[in-house]
Amino acid sequence: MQQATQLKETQVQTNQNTIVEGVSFWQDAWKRLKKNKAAMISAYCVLFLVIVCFFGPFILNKFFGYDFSTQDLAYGAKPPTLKHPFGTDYFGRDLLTRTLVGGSISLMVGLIAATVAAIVGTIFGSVSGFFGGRVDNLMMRFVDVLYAVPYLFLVIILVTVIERVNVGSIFDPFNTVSEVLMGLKIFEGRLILLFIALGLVGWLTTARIVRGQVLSIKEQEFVQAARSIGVSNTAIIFRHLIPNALGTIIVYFTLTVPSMIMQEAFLSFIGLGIQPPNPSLGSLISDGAKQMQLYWWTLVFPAIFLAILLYCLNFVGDGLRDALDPKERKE
Amino acid sequence: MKKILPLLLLSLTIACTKKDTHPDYYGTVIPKHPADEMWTDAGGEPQYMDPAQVSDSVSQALTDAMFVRLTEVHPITQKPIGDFATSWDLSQDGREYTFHLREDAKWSDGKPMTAHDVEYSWKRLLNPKTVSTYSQMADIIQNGRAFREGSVTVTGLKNFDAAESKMIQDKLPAQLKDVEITSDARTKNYFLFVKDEDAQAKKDKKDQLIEEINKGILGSDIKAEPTTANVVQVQAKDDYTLWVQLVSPAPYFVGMISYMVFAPVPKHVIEKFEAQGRPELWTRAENIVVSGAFKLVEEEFKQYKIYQKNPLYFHADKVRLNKVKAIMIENAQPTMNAYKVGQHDWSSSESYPSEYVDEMRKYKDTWFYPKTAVYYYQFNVERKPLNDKRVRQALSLAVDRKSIVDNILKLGQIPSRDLVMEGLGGYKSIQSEVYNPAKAKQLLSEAGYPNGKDFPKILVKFNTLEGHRKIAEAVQEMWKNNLNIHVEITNMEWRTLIEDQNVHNFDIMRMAWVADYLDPHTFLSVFLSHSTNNHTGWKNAKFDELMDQSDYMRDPEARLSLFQEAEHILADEQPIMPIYWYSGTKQVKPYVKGIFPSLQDKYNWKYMWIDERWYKGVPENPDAVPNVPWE
Repeated sequence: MQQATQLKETQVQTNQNTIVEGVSFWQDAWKRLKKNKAAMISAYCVLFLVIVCFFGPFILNKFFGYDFSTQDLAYGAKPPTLKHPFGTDYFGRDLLTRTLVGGSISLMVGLIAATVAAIVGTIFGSVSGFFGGRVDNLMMRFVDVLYAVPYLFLVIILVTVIERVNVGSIFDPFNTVSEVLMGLKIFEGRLILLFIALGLVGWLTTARIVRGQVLSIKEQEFVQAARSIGVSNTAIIFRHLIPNALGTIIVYFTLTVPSMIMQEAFLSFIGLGIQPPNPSLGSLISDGAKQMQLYWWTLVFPAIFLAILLYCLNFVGDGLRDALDPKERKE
Repeated sequence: MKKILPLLLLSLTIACTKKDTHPDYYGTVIPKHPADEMWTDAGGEPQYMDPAQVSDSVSQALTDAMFVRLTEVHPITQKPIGDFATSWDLSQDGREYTFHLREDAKWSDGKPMTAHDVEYSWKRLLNPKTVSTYSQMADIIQNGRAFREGSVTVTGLKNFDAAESKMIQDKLPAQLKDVEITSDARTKNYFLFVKDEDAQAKKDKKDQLIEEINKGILGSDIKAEPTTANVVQVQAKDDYTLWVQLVSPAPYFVGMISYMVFAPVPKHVIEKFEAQGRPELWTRAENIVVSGAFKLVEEEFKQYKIYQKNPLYFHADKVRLNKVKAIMIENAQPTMNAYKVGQHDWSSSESYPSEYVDEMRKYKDTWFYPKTAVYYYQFNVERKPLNDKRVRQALSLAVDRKSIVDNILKLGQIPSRDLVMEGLGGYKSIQSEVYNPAKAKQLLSEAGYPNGKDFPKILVKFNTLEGHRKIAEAVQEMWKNNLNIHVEITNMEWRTLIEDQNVHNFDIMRMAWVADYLDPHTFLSVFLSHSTNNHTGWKNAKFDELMDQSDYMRDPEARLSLFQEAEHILADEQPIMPIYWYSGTKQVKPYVKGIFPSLQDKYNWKYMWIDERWYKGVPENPDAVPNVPWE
């Protein structure tokens, strides 16, 4: 008995002397992410690729005069040299510049489509999950209906019906920046269609996942507490539900980006995506595949580029999932 | 042994492949079939096998050997010569032809083939019920258009002059005044063409018109009825003499009837299937009755068609092949591979992607030859800013056609801004200036867009094909460089493109025109105001008048200069922007004989044969080559 009391005292003592900082969920996750070597390397890799993609074309243009659309028909397709490390395509355009511009377009498409998907999906899913009952039923059946429409069919209809989209001047600043960096306006023509098409279907899965999360969170005590002191529904959704589901949303977001890039590549590959002369990784690979027997470099470099980008993004996504998964916190 | 076996197999394969190749030729040089057989590339599945409905090159190629025409194009000189018709007489005014037909011609079911079959076939071609996209070609036959367009025939009048036409027009009730009136004094008929966009409304108006006239508004003895085939001025005088009267002395007529749609078709067979209510079944392999050298015996949709020699063909003793297999592969790359391994003995013009041209030039079995076809962009002159001819000229002059041909196409096409090619029917091309960026820039600023400022967004449409996309990308860049304007380009499926073309839903659209007969008329007549193939919306009275004059001009030199004058108008107005004149490319195995470069890309299987001596090592004997064409 004596001993036991003593022990208790020392424990209290320790608690008083050292200041133990509370470890928040995010700090904890960050710590675990840092331990994941593959994810960290991939993250740096992605960062590097993003920087290269967005600033590379500008530098290449400034110092070498390369431009993704300037043709040199007489020069034609030549294998990699020091002057053109990735070689040139059939029109004599520098493939490195085209790959970088293509990469940045692909990244933009991926990021924007994934962001749209995340925002729309989160709001839709949390509203549906929070209100439950008939509202939930109705909203989820709507999602089901959209799921049932064949994706490719939808895109083809969209592309045929809307030939040109004229967006207002909201995007002008972005266009100015992208014109300086890459020499083309990103928010224009078919590209906008791509964003719309990908965003239209991308949010469905996010909505379902968020709804599932919200269904479980809303039964917890702190939500009931909030309700009992009269917090409005909107406030509950945005202050309590969504922040608590954020981990899942982020993980899903990082995994959506590469899948959107892949989708864009696919659409461009079959000719529904980006229109020439603008390159995207998908259209570059599509062109390269048609002439790989003669000009292997036009296929190999963009394909490797896309593969690295997708691998890295997926590794980062995987790492984040591991880091944010509450079950892994026991270590 | 385990390790040796694959090696052994490998060396065996190498040994085998080595044996049947030759450094000068691409792929195998020994056929994979008996010498009385030929395997060819058909491009794709044909739209139609009924001669009257043929309008594309695939259908043309696959029906060509099955149906004889009155004339054919000489495979070497490219001039029209007799085939089913042995000779023909021309009347003084150049409008009446009398064809004398071969008396030994039989259908493949043994029934004799006569002038009555020809009369039936040409009237069938004009019959609106046949739904032939090329029936318009037969408008040149007197009263052909009246029958084809479903006009109303009015009988009982006698003067056939302008005053009488006016009288008819005046007496018609107000809601029916909008009719076109033509007459034919010889058959004593007036033809009234009712106009309406809507088919049903047109039919209603027509019925109403007939009813009104039969009530006696034009006179008690004046009657009206729907136009029938009887008025069409083509007639079998006896079994082997065919008489035809033309609207105007069209010198290209004899060449034109070598086109597939004018092929005689078996009346007795078609009528049998029509009686059963399934007229389209007569072209099936099990039902078809042919007149030519080969007969379709077996077909597999989108796979192949097999043809067997027709022993009743009038030159059957001279046909050397017994069997022809046409294999359908749609894309260029697989076609090229199929040729390489000997799946095809010869393949069509689009047989390999342009990237391979340099590679293919190394081989003797790749042919490059001129073709009478022109590649052009058509402008929609109803839309801004293309309604301004200076804009059209600027766009046209800013395209460096030579660079496109030399660096992208590489097939020896001829860069040109003219529609009608040099030497076609003796024509001297007008030699418009091909490339002048400075002038283009100036024209654009004159039109109100200095340095491309505020130039509206326009879209170039083309059908999905690698080659078209490359040209479009190059043109896009040239316009950007030379005029500082940005255009969008987009590809679409062929059928979608044609639909858009027909409803004028485009700014700029890629198109090409292949000569249907070897005369400048085939190109220039496309851009007449009333031509159903003119989709630019461009109309020019002077151009129409010159073309009309040329129809009646008997003197060949004067006729050609009329064409030149008309083309100068076209070149100045630029409703279209020609880019180059086609050149054909073809891969032909060295053992295939009796095949010759063709200006219209038409190849007659009946002359072809497989030369066994070539691969059996026996030297060639030039005397053994049969006369082409057969006498």
